[in-house]
Amino acid sequence: MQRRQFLTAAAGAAALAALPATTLRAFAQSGSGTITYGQSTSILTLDPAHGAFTGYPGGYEAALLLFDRLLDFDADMKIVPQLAQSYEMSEDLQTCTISLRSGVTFHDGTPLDAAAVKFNIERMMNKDINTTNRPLWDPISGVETPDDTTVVITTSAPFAQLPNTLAHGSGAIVSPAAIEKFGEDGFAQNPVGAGPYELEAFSPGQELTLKAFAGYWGGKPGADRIVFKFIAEPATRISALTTGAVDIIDSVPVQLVSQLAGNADIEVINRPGLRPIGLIINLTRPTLSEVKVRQALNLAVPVVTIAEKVFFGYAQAPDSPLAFDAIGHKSVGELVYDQEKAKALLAEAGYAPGADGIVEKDGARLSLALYVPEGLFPGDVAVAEIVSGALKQIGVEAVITKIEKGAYWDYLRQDKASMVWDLAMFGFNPSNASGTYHLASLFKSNADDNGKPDVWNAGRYNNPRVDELLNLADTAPAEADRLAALGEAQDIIWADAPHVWLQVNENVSAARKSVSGVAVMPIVFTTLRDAKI
Amino acid sequence: MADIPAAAPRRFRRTHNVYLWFGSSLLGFFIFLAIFGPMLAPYDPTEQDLFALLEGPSATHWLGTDNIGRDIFSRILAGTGYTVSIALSSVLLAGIGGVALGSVAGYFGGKVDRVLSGIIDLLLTVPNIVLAIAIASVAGSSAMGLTIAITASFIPPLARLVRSKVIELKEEDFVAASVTIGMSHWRILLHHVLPNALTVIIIELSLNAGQAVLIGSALGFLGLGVQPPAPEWGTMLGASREFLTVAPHLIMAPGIAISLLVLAFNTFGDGLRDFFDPNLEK
Repeated sequence: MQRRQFLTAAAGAAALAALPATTLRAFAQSGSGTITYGQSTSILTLDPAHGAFTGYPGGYEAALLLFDRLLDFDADMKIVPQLAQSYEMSEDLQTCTISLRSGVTFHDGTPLDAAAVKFNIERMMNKDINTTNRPLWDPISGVETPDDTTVVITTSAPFAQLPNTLAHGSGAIVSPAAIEKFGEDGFAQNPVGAGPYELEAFSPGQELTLKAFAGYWGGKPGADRIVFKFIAEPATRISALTTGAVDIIDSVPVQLVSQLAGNADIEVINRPGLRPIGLIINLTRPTLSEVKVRQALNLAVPVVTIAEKVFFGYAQAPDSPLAFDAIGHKSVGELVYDQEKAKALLAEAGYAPGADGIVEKDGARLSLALYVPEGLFPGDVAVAEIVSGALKQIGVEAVITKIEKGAYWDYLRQDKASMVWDLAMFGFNPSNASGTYHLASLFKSNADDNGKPDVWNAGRYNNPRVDELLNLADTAPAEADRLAALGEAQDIIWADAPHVWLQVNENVSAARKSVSGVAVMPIVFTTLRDAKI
Repeated sequence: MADIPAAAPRRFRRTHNVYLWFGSSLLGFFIFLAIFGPMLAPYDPTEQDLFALLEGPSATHWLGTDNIGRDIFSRILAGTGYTVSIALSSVLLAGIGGVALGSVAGYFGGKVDRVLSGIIDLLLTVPNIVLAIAIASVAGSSAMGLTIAITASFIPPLARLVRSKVIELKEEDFVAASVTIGMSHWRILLHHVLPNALTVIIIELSLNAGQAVLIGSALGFLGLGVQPPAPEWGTMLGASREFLTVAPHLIMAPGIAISLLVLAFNTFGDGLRDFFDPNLEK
């Protein structure tokens, strides 16, 4: 009997302990002025360091509200001041002098001054604390604070992308006092910044509630509360939006947009992304090191048709290795679908059709292993199937291997000896919007092609001229010279065709018309900074 | 032997066994499609027409086209082979594994039984679909991987069944008689015990086949099926899900095909049980 009583009491206590949190949350949401956002990715951590904001992009979307940064991107990916009042890059691109807005405080009441900024930048420079986004932070060599509102950042080499780094999500300025209070391990669950909204409740992986920060320097935010809810299934997100359970959703599958477009209460918000999707070509294979073969592969894929038919027009065929809104993008060519020319190029490269219709050279069939993740990129498996079908038309066999999305990156980033793929689907999202960063991450030669790729040059592309130009694009004192170098690099890479270029997808979100000011940024993020209800 | 019924009712059950007739005819139809389906298909199941995406049923495409413009009818026909062969080979393999484990554990008893039963019990605590997912994710996305996953998830329950049947039969007089005349244990097990357990095993396996179709399709649905562009039903079902509201015909064809094949296996299994089991006389 005693044991049973104890058990009953214990169960009761557990139920009571669980109750208040949920009741409070339900209460919080019932107030007016609450915007609820049904996200396709869950929010797990909210610290710019220690692996940055996760999951992606959900964590970054919340971080944009919790934290202010020195600089910001506007809707067209132009860099504009945020916590900085103004900034100036030195002639040699090695020093950036920033004049801070005065009187700004963090959510915990501590001042956001030069010392706090120095603390933050040094924290991001520290490789042990900040393990991700290294290419953004590695060039920085020191921070000086001549007075309370001035910060001077120096780099070890000319670094034109420094403003992009400061405007990047990982440039979020966190409260040093909160780091002290919660520790390096605890901050990710107890974030304190100086953004328009502050933390109210956080269940990682499920729900995050932010409330308006009364002391925000920029005035009262547009909503009293913003609730982020994780809803993994697209169909569930859509029905949550149409029934009004949420006000905003992201990642609307393009085939379902037509359903929302007919709804008078709902607005579809779409914007081309910064992530061109393509197939990395494994250049360590002798057959694929031949540029004519790579050009033939590019000619064989009906990219425009894929964009129009498979993505219902919510995608475009790229005209450069960079997406349209990347800083420094230059239109360098047009993707043409021409099977005859593709076949002619294969013939020039010494290939002749074999008995089964697949072309051969010296008795070896041109059969390629095409690796694709499932659910990582828009319509990934379907696009791979189309590519495989299209290549067959010119006599190239592409055998598809579908990989579970969690395991995919490991297949991509292999040392040379373990590369199992000839073609692998890939898309890079330059989160600092810099075209230089994008091209350097994908096409700058690796220090050692036998090891794992340094960044994402998984196909082992190596062109000394491109290396030179990318270096110039980072270090030339005049902006015009930097852009010219970046433009020439795009020309060369396009002609070298180290990827099979596929499509640039649009990011599609949707909001109820009762909410205004929701924007989809080219860098995937659906931002609620200016959202009002 | 208790399991062999009197002659008259058996003939009665054989001629009036609707389940068996229906099940075996439907199953025969599917096996026919599995073998000849690819030849009967009006289109190449991987041929795409990007200008005819998500089209509804019509005279040119009887069951419509999928998200990259392939003929669904041809894909269903071509996919029959995968599903039927995965189901049949996995129950066959599970039969071999389950009988081996269960009969050894049941007949020899003692430490052998305790160890084997321990393992079986441990595996039985994991729901078979979960076990299959775990195995499929290690074995990889292929027909072979699916077969291994399904087989492995069937072995524990079958071994448990065979073990208890063997323990029951072991107590029969004919076993004691065989021991008395000095017959070896293996010979007794193989020649006297197992043949008497065969009915139970066959019925269980035929019922498992329906289950195998469901698990195989579920794994395909979850992305652990065969590699694209192979037309496996579960994978087709999974790929249709995104289009459920805009092109419901995509999900109908594989859904109905899976249901009918499961129905075929299950009614066949039920029919077999009625045929063999004298206790079910009505």
